[in-house]
Amino acid sequence: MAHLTLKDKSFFKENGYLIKRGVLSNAQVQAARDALWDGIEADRNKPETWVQAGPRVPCPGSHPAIRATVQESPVFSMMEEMVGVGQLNGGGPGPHLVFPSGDDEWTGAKHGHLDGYYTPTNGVPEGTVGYMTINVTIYVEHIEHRGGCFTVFPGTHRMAHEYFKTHSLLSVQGGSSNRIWSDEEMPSALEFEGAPGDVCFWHGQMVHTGSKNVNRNIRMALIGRFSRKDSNDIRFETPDDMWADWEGLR
Amino acid sequence: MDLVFSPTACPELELPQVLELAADSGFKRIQLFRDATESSPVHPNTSVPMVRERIAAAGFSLAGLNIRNLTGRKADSDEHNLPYNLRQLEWDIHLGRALGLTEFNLSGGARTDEAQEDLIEGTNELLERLPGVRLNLGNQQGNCLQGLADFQAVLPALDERARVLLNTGHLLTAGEDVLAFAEAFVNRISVVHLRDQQGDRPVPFGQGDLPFSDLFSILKGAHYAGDFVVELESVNWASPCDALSAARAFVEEAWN
Repeated sequence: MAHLTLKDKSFFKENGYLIKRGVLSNAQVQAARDALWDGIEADRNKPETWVQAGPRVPCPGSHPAIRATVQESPVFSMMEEMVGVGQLNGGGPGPHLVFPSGDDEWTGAKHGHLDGYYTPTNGVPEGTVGYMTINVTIYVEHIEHRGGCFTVFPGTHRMAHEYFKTHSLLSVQGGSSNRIWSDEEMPSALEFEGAPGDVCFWHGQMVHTGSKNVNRNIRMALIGRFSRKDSNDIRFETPDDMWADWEGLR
Repeated sequence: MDLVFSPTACPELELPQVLELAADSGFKRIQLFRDATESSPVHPNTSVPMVRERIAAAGFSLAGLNIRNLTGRKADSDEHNLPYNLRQLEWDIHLGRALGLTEFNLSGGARTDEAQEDLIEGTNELLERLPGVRLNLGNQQGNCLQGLADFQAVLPALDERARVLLNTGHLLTAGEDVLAFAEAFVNRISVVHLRDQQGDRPVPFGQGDLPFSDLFSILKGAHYAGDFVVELESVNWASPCDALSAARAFVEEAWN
């Protein structure tokens, strides 16, 4: 059974992201949320203890309840509807929490970054760039404006594809979009606001960022990154048709 | 015999200019370096498809890619971390595969037991992960693969797809016997980097210490069919083009 409409697919191609509401069941959301709370160093019933709490990754992505949000929900099938059935490596998401800052100073992002780039602390080997085909951000808590929303810059997947036709993948230090484009060239940021069980799919070369959380809730997001099984054969290619390898979007 | 142009003669030139110089010097094949040359396929203003197209448009073929060395260490902190280093090399190899290559040149790390062990473990691991790939291990002055004894210690522990890159310049610099090295590994040599030197100073081919005739006899005796890469490192002659043409002609005559 198809989960995505032609309109969904068309939206993803144009904008580089797609938000689908209520993809996870209540039970899946609850199980994931419980797994996260087991590792959070704060009192679940006392929001005042959530401010600047931690850790950002309170349980591993291998936790069954976390992995299930992708592998036992429609999420993986939805990605396959775009990339092609059997084309993606398996895997699951990992927790990425943003705790309330405790203050009220918040500004929107003008720039973000591409994933897969080396920094001295992120574990990516220097002189390499990780390759992702499609990524997903899953909310297991209510996340509103100024609440640490996962933020995308619509259309930057197409801008990146054009850029890498004439530049090395390594030419973008740290993957920062301000190394490539000026403030004026960047599209406006779009905050993914959502409810538990909502999902945002985003292209592997999409500029994105997190943001500060000045709200009450913890930004409870799970982020998964997925690559094609043949990524070692195509990671350096920039075909004229950027969707040439996406069976569901050609 | 296939002669190959090396950008070590002109490390400051970008790929289009390198191809022009190579063509003017009579070459049709070229090798590239991952690092230390502006013609690198990871030059910021060059995509991999652009590299492919430029080489093809110039009527050239790509003979090889010299990737980063298997040091077992992180380049930014020098911390010992073999898996990290192997991920770097694997990325370089996939880059080369995107350029149509199946074999890659590299060397090892420092002259330590740890680096030698990492070289063995890492080489075998890469070859296991990448079935269609061959690795040419080159001798290098100051490296754990500096000379004959180093290769004798390492090669028996390596997969057959680990081959030998004989680099005459580095052997001469290290004071190693080029002919003894060639004789010892002649059946495993898959590429030869030719540089003539007086001591450690590069000189025009035929004017230095490299015994071209004897080396070629050894290689011919083993029916060597690999490439000869002409390396004019640190060229300071008036015309690089003339020097390269002269080197090419010298090698062709010496071989024939």
